[in-house]
Amino acid sequence: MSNHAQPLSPAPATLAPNAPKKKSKENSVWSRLLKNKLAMVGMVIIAIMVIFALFAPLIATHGPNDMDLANSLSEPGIDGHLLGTDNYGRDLFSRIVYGTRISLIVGIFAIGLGGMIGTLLGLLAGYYGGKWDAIIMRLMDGLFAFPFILLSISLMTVLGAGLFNVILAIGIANIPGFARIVRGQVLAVKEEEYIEVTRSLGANDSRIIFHHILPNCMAPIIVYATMHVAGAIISEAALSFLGLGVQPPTASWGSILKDGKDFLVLSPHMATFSGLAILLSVLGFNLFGDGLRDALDPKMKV
Amino acid sequence: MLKLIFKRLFDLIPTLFVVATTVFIITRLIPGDPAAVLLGPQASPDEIAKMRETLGLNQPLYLQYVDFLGSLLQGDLGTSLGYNQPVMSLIMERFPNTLLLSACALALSLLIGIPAGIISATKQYSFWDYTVMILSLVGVSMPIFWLGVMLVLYFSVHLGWLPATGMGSLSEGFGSVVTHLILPSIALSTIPMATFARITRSSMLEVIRQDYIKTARAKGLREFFVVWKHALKNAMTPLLTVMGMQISSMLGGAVLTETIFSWPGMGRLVVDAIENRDFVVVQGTVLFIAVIFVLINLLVDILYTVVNPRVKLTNKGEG
Amino acid sequence: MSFDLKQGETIGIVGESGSGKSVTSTAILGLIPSPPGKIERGSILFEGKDLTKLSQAQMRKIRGNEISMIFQDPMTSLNPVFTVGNQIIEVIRLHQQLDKKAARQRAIEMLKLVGIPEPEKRLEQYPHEFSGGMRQRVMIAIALACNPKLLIADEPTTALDVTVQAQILDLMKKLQDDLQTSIIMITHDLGVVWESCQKVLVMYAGNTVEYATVEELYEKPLHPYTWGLLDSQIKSDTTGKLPSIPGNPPDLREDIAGCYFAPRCPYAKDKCFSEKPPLVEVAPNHLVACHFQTSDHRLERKGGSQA
Repeated sequence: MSNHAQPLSPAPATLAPNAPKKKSKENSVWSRLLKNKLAMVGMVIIAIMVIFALFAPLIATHGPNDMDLANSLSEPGIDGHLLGTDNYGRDLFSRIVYGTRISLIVGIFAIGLGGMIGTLLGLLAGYYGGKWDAIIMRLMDGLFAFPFILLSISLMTVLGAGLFNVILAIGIANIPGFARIVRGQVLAVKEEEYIEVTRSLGANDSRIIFHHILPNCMAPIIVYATMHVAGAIISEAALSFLGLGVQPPTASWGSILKDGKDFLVLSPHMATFSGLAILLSVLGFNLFGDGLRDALDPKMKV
Repeated sequence: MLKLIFKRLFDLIPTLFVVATTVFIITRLIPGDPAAVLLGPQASPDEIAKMRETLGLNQPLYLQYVDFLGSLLQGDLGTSLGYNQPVMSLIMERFPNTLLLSACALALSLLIGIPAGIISATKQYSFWDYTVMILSLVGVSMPIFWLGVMLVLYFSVHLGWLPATGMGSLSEGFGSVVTHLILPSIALSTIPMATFARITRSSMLEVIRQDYIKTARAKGLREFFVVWKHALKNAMTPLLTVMGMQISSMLGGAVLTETIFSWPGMGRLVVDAIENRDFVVVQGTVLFIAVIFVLINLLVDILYTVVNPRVKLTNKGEG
Repeated sequence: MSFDLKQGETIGIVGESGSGKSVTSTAILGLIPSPPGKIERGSILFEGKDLTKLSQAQMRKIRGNEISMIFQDPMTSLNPVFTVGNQIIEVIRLHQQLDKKAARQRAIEMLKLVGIPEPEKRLEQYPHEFSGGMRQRVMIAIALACNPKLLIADEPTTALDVTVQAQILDLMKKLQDDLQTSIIMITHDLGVVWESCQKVLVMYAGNTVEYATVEELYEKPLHPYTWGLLDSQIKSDTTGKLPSIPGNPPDLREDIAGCYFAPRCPYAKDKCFSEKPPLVEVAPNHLVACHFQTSDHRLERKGGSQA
């Protein structure tokens, strides 16, 4: 599928230990990335998200669940509520800051989970081929037949709501994508001469897979993962928006938007700001992922 | 050609089998008791046990599986507990509505996305190019459920131009359906539109440098025909690949769009079923949508051969 | 640079890749991509009309109709997603008032003319079903479908097998005799020039360095660059390594004071680096741009290989 993707370091370190050359290649990837303005915008957005998530208690002006019913649904800027309050009088800015945590946690852990399992399956299918390949990829085709969000939804209906289950559902829904990308990459790398050489030198399968093939698959995996963190963030928000995700009173952008939809006429700021937070963070990961792909290999099919 | 299509349809059987099995696994094997989920947290153990009986969950797993596949073969997706109706007839009532919405959104995204991508490519680095590229970047990142809410806020609440919910009815005239269609179609078309614009641009940029484009110009063709006939048809192949994927995510996006706009389609059916914990309906609808998606992909494969004569319709079963 | 061409005549434009041959040809058709390219000055006279002064619409009437072009690589110059027939009929219907049926008939005639068997069947096929030589025949059919007065052939045989090369050249010569078309033959291969041209223009770095009749140039080549080209041609007695001209053509974005070829010229003297040699007629029908090749001074050509 993605045999266009260039492995990061075509000359394997074991055959020709060429450290300085490899270093300069990495440097050029970085310098290309740093020169890409859009990618840098993406990186800044991601950095702000990380800071929000890590230092939420310091940045938030109020507790995320502190209710002030007398001041419910107040407009932005009134009474020290930067973005106004929600229907329970909770400070919207603080809830959005805390909501960053949920988005990032789900984004990172769901993609981590799906990425790990998917990569493993892709490595097995690509490396061993034959029956392994047929069984694994048929299974992945089956999973792929479900629109992504529907797969997450149906998983959530069985698993029940909650943060852990959201991660699990989105993670599982991400497995087939990773498996496909990695399998294609393995098929391309497997035929390279140095893999033959390594094998003839007596390396066993697991060493070849994890020390030689996997490192050469990393570039597309990283790009794919970055872009799909964006997808996971949207999915979490969508699940919470449907009331299937993180349960109240935990602040999640999707659930704020869900509440905001019910008070659209009275106080449109709830829906507006929570949605903008989702849009910006997704845009951030997409921009960074795009830039990363262009820096590593513009022809990469991810 | 026809023979090949039948052959490909035949080849779909294993995929459909996997799809059905996946749905079965999701509902039966993953931790969580459908009966408990169905009844909610207040249910007593007795009630749960009774519900397990009704759902046939007390049978051995393989028997459940055989039953499940057996009824599927007869087109039976089970009976909804909430509606007390066969799931299949529930779906059939709503499927045309989802089809109408998705078709409008797809048409909208193609009619705007492709020309935008072409203009962007033929005027690379111009003001238009930057505008299209920035809009499409925002577009692919759009949470469409938020966009839907915002569209309602401005066009229905503030301006009062368009209805916020429902789909109108033909008895109120054709216009009633059309006005109800506009906002949900825009919301649903955003991501595919942006994706089509991006793909068309990059694929046109590649095609426009090819020798056969020089040949077309040397023939004395107008630039309009060079671009829209000779270049575009060559740029279609990557576009088709993406189109298959976009149609799939549109079917998913329909769930969210229909929820926001109370559009009486399959997505709305799923969400209502989730709220009523009617998991037979969820399972049946998801299965139905997956089958539709598989069929659409077959259609895309057939379209490939129309667009690109070098591609022969083959039996390319494995992923 | 300057040259003229009569009806039914063939001129060869010779030079290394990057010497500006193809730019010249695309300039005639007004197809230089702009930006960055632009015709700064000069004129291209075709039957008394200055092509550089025509509007785009007027140029379109000429392209493919009165002036046609064949490109180097037949594998990439036909559109892969349209049938061959479609691509021939397109140009016929574009320039001639023919209905579909008549245009189709004309397309079949053209395929027959360029020596493609079973033209009715081949018409419905796609380019990928043709071999390289057959595709170049199709390109020629497209180019000649409207009986152009001028055909520009940009390295028409370079991408083909040697045996096919000769067939294509023969075909072009035969069709030229039938249709009285003038041809501009762009090539780096002097062998092609000897076989098919009456006049030849040697280009280096966008400038004419030598311009003569083929007989003149064959007998008495004068410019050191032409000698270099001749030495690097494959001959029947070539053994071992083929000599080539050392170095690369200059970067024309830089300002060069002297003769463009001087840095690579084994005969270069100080004057060559400071002063540009003019193109002068040193013998009847023979122009050359070299300080040391004039009507009253000749260079001694060093024997064969200089590499």
